[in-house]
Amino acid sequence: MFSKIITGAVALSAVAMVAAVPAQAQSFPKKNITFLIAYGPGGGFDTITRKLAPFLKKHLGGKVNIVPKNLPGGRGKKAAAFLAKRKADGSHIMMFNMPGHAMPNIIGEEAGYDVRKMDWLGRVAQFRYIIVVSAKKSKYQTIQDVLKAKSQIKIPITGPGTTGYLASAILWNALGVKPKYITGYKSSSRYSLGVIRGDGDLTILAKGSFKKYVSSKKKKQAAFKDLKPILEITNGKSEFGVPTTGEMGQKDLAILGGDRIIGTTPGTPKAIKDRLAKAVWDSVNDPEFVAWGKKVGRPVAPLNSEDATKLVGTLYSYYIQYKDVLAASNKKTR
Amino acid sequence: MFDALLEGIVNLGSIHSLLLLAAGSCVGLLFGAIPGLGGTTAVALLIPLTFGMEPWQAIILMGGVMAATSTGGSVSAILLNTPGIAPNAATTFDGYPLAQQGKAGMAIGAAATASAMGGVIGVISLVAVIPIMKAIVLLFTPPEFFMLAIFGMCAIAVSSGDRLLQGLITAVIGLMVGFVGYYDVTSTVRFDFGIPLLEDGVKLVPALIGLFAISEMINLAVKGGSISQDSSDVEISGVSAGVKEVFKNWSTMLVGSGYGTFIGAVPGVGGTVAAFLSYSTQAQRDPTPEIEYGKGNIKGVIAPESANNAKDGGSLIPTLAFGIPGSAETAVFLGVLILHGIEPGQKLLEDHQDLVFTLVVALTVSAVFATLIVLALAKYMALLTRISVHMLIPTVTVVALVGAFALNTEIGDVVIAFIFAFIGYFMIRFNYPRVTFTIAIVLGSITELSFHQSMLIADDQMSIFFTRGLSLTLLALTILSLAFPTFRRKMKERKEAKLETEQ
Repeated sequence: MFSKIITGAVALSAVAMVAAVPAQAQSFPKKNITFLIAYGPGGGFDTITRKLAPFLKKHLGGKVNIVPKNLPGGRGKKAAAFLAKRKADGSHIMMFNMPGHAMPNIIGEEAGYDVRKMDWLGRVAQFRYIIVVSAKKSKYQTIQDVLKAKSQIKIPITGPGTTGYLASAILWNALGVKPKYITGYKSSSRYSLGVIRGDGDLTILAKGSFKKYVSSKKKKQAAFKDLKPILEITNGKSEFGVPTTGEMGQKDLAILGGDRIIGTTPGTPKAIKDRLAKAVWDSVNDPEFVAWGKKVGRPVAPLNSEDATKLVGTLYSYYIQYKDVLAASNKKTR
Repeated sequence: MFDALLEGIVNLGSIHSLLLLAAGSCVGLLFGAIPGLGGTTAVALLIPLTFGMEPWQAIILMGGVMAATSTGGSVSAILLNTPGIAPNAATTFDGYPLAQQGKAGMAIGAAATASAMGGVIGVISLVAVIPIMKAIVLLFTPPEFFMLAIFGMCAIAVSSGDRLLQGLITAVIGLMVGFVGYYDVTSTVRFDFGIPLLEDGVKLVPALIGLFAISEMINLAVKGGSISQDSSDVEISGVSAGVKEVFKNWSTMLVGSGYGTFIGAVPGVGGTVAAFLSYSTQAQRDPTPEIEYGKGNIKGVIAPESANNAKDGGSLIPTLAFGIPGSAETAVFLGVLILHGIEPGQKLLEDHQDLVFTLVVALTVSAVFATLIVLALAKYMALLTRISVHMLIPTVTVVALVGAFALNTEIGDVVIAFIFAFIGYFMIRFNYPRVTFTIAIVLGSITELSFHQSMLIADDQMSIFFTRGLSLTLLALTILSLAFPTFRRKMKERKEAKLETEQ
């Protein structure tokens, strides 16, 4: 009799738990959701997060607010670690900078989070790189000039281990060029300015960032008054009519770039995760958001939760090949 | 260009626009005056409000905030010895001694007027240099940054006064503090002792809050009384005298505005350095002042305040020339433009000249508006210096600590503020200058970074510093500014000796 009661109770609670899952999804979200920004106000991540927040609110039923919150520190690590430690209830989400956020995990640095364990909700955007020279000051005006160069090429860039530096290192290694890096610039805007004023010969730049150096009055080459593209990292056709890495037989390099992927705390219940993932997908595909992205030169590149999770795995496997290069550049000098 | 300027004026012409601007100015003043908050936070917090606005309306609101923050910050620098925002740090050197002498009204009057004049001159300079703005931004490369930082370091000698040894000791400690944390050239974290809080370095704002505000409160608690040592019951006045001082010392204001505009145009240097440079240049230009600098010379308030407001106009130069933010506020401002579907960069000036000039007009009007508010309230604000320590200390300490926390909602920053509070208190107690410490913290990292980058560019050839026109000019200016006061004093002594022998 007693065992029957126990069995009955277990069965009932199991039913209750199963029934609770959709109820949890239906009732989610009840409270405001914090949309963490791993960097300070201003800049790409801040802007795109703030733009996306109202769309997420709309696609989550419009009853709760999505509150953007800057949590800069440790070059993005602080916010990611904060997210990883939240209760897994979907109350916090964040747009990750990949592969940047994966770097501490790849080199085995204590980060407080693991990108392989995060729950991924979907990708918002991606960028790919081009190589630019100063239109007026650089000795090298084509990629052929660079490949044939007798003196050492100098590249202004952010510090070793940053995504721009790493992409640059992988690219030039593949093309057999051994450049000297002038590091220490705080952002791509700063090192682009470094190239324009002649601190170095060329650099790597996200295509979206490059567009701000292009004049709208003139067409084609005449529009490149300050910076001029000489190589595009793609397997497709160049947007600017310059040689591509694909044409040079370097198909593997097309992975180099950046992906902006939204994640939440590991272990978030599936129902909540699915609800959030659907809202991310609907927001990123919202015609108004798509139109905005196009207008400001930050086109959306939606990926659903499943594909985004696969992409994180692929990026991790690709970059871990360069673990030693990364670890050497990130060595702490205490 | 004039059509666009006209459109900017028209945009600001309606009651609605003026209200927006006034709201922006008031928020800017408040966020500037409360230590730790600052313009970047204000602009970032207002972003959601702009979603329903037209782009030009958003620009008016943001322009209102940006032009008012350093004016607000000067009030707390003068009254409480706490820079509201980092660029007001140099204002404390002479502003607070004036408040202690019961001349807070005069100091606020001068600071507010210098701010307005600096703001207007900065904006006019911006419009004037639009045709050559690219050349200005490109003038400065790492060797020039290095020489500029060295030039700024001269301020250490000036601010030490007769305590040169103490000044140098605190400067060296300041440099060491400035080197803590992540270093961009090597991507390594140094001197952090494994403490995560120090990984990004010692943050300037919590450090300044501790070093100036809280240490001063500890000092007051020990001493008792009120900030103003002149306890007479005379009504606080002198605001208009402060306004007049600015026009009497117009060259100080012009030089300060020039520094602000020029340094604002160079991304990565900022208003704090502009204010320090302006201050030290002023002190060096005037080697035999009636009132010693650091002891309540009104010119020591005018110089940094005109510079840190002129910077707002200057920092738009790289923004318009290349789409690169010249300061943290302009970075957020660019974000606002993007949110409103406007792509910054070259196209901004080509396709949206009307918006650019709306901002220019908003910055100008807001600088004047903020000053008028401060001038109207200065008399009452100066009463703060008469409040008994029993009320002042708890209030200021709480506001300052909340400010330190609010910046990054980081409790560690409060700890930093406390540590620096005790360092600051012991520096007051044992007569070590806090100014030199601050200058070294601010300039240390720029000096190191630009030196390292120069060496990378020049393959370790030191000649890079001596073979470039501007770098060499800055070096000459450094030598001149160090030698000039001695030279002038010697000349004066010789003249006096000659007169004596003639008699």
